[in-house]
Amino acid sequence: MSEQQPLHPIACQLACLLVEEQLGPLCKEVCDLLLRKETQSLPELSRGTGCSRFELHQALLVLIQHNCVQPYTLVHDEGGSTPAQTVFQPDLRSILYRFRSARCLLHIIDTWGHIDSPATSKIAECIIEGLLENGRLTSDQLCINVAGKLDAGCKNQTPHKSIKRTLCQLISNHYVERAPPADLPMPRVTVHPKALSKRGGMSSSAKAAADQAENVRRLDKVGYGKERYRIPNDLRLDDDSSDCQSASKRQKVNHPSGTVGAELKGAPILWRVSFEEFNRRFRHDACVELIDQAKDGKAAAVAAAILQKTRQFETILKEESSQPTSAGIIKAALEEMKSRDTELPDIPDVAEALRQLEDDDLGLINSAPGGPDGTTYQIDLRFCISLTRLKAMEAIVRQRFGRLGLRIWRVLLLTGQLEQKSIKELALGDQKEVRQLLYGMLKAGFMAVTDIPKTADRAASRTFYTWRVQPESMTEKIGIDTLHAMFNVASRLSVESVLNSELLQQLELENKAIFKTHGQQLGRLKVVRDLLESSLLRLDDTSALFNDF
Amino acid sequence: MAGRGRGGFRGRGRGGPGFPLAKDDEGNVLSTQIEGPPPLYPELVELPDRPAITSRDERLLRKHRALASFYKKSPYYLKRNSDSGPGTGGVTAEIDRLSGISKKRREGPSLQLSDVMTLHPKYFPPELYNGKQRRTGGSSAKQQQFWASQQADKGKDDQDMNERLAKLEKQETAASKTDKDGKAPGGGEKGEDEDNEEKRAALEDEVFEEDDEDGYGHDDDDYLQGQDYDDDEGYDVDEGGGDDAFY
Repeated sequence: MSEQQPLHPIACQLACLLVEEQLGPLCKEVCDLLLRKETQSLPELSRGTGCSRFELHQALLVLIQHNCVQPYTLVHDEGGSTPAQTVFQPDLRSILYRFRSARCLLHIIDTWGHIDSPATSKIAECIIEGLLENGRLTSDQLCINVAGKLDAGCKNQTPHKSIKRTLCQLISNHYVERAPPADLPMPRVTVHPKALSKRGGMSSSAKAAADQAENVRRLDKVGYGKERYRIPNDLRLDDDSSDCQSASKRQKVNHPSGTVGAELKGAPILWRVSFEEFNRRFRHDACVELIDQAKDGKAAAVAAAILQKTRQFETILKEESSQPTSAGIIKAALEEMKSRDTELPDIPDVAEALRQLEDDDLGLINSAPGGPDGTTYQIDLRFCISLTRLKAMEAIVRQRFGRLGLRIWRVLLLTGQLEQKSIKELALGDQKEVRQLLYGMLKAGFMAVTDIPKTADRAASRTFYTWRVQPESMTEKIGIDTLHAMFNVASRLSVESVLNSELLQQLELENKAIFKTHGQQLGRLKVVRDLLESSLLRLDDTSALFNDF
Repeated sequence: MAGRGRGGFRGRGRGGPGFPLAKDDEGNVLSTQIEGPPPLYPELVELPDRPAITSRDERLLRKHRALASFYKKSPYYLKRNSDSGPGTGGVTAEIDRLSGISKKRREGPSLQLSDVMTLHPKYFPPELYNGKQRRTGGSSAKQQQFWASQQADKGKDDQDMNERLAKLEKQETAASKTDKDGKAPGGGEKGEDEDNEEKRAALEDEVFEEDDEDGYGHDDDDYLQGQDYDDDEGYDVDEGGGDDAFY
């Protein structure tokens, strides 16, 4: 559960479009209101949407089921007469992560062999698919759902034991998590420091009481954080080969008294897909791909082994660097990976490979001497992701502003602030062309201008104007632009579907006559749909790089 | 003081244009004159190449469409009650409405949310459902039936549009072949002219087959002659009535 973050309008529009496409216009209406108002109670929602009571309840149930909306309990005053109220808050990130569902399924199919035997790959895929389709399910429901998918058309029935075992594997690898309860405290709203100072300070005693109340309520949230990946007793199997037991021992925690950790009697456990873990895997994949491109396959294999071993210690998605790991542990991880995937390259001397990686000027891997196991190594994840983003930014600048524009951008990135004349000399471009490109990039949000006046009147003729590139603001700008592009593509796809709805209906009914009369139109529709949907999924990959990693 | 009266303007620079000038960074004057009407169309932009769809894209598309198809047919897809009125469901809905076949009879009874969801106060606020709808977990028979029907439909939905088009084309070709072969099942060697004649006949059949089905006929049909065709009909008929006014 992350703290509340401001919702960008275009991201909200995109989320509404996705909800309408997948969950219907009723859910879209409710979601739209929640994204605009951020937190609403039931009466406020009823007034704002104009839906009937039954429709509103149905929509909220579906949105909660699919993790698009999270209910919280709002306590107005401690020990007061006002009862606690349930409020609903949209989870914008969870809604936008639904674009990544297909990618998550492919990730499970392609990488399950590294985690468990390939024979259970289909079971794992069906479990994730069942959870993506239904939002939240209990373990029994999952077993029946998966058994139905696997046994369709087959005489043999998949035993529920193997499905539960695979579910345990998924939970221990954090792909699947428990659904959060409905009575968690609301996340803290981040207030700008200047707003705090403007409001005026509370008295110290009142502030201390408020902080204490806040901490007490936050225990429940901390309790859920620790319970998220705990495997319950009924799911744990007795076979020795299962990793569930070791995972459950690793996750044994002390439950604080009177908190959500103490499960209600008879309360079922609902499981859902953990998009945070999938994003973490995709982030690691991006780092490994960068190292593969910068160095070679052996370095990439070493990096993959480090990340696989240290993944369990990461607590947040955007970790700065991996945990320090010794060469011996990395070697053991590499051997384990090699036993599951024979296509990995052979690395006879792991320590030498690590030393070569560390000596590289890029600085992707850092080492620290000492420690009981010798020298430890860690990957600078933040730096890897920033390099990957820089490469993507260069590609965007080159596509939009050409080679000269890219040269100008690189010159400013390396040198910092420069005047227009200096840029022209270093970038080897024409004065007029350089000026046009600079102003074009300024308009696109890729550049910033600083004026340094010589006199107090700030006259233009007596002012220096320097140009600079700010990668952080450019990252944010490209992230928003990517969401905007996704919205445009999704809208166009929706319009195409509406314009050709009659034709698609006839195709559904397998009407042979339409092929003769509308064959060309159907062919064009097919090409357009393929292009738009594949573009949408590719844009989501870019959005993940700039917004989520 | 002396310069304020008649000579006031003299000290302020001579030969000035009297209006502000736009200048660029080097001090060159920029032209601000309008050079005619704006262009009718914007400049032609060189569009980028169409992106190629890789095998990974195809796999992603398959999974993405399978999920989208599931959501559309699931009880999670909610419409407003006002959306199911007349004129809102397209041709299929209108046909159903006018022919008297109800959607329920065609697709079977619809599922309720409480049949497929585990409504427990721990996860869903109690004010959103009543005690009758509440389920404490475990799979109901209706839920299993729903998943089984989804799995059965999935086999059909997995067919991409291209495959469906290919299937329809094959059926159509087989049907048209059966019609022709029924009359001349043998073959033998045919001359080139006969082949061309056959192809021409096949083309004509293709173009005019719809008309045949509708019974409009061929060359002597006035509808095919165009709007300028004068069939000389209807001018010599004496309708009677003389010169009386027509009301």
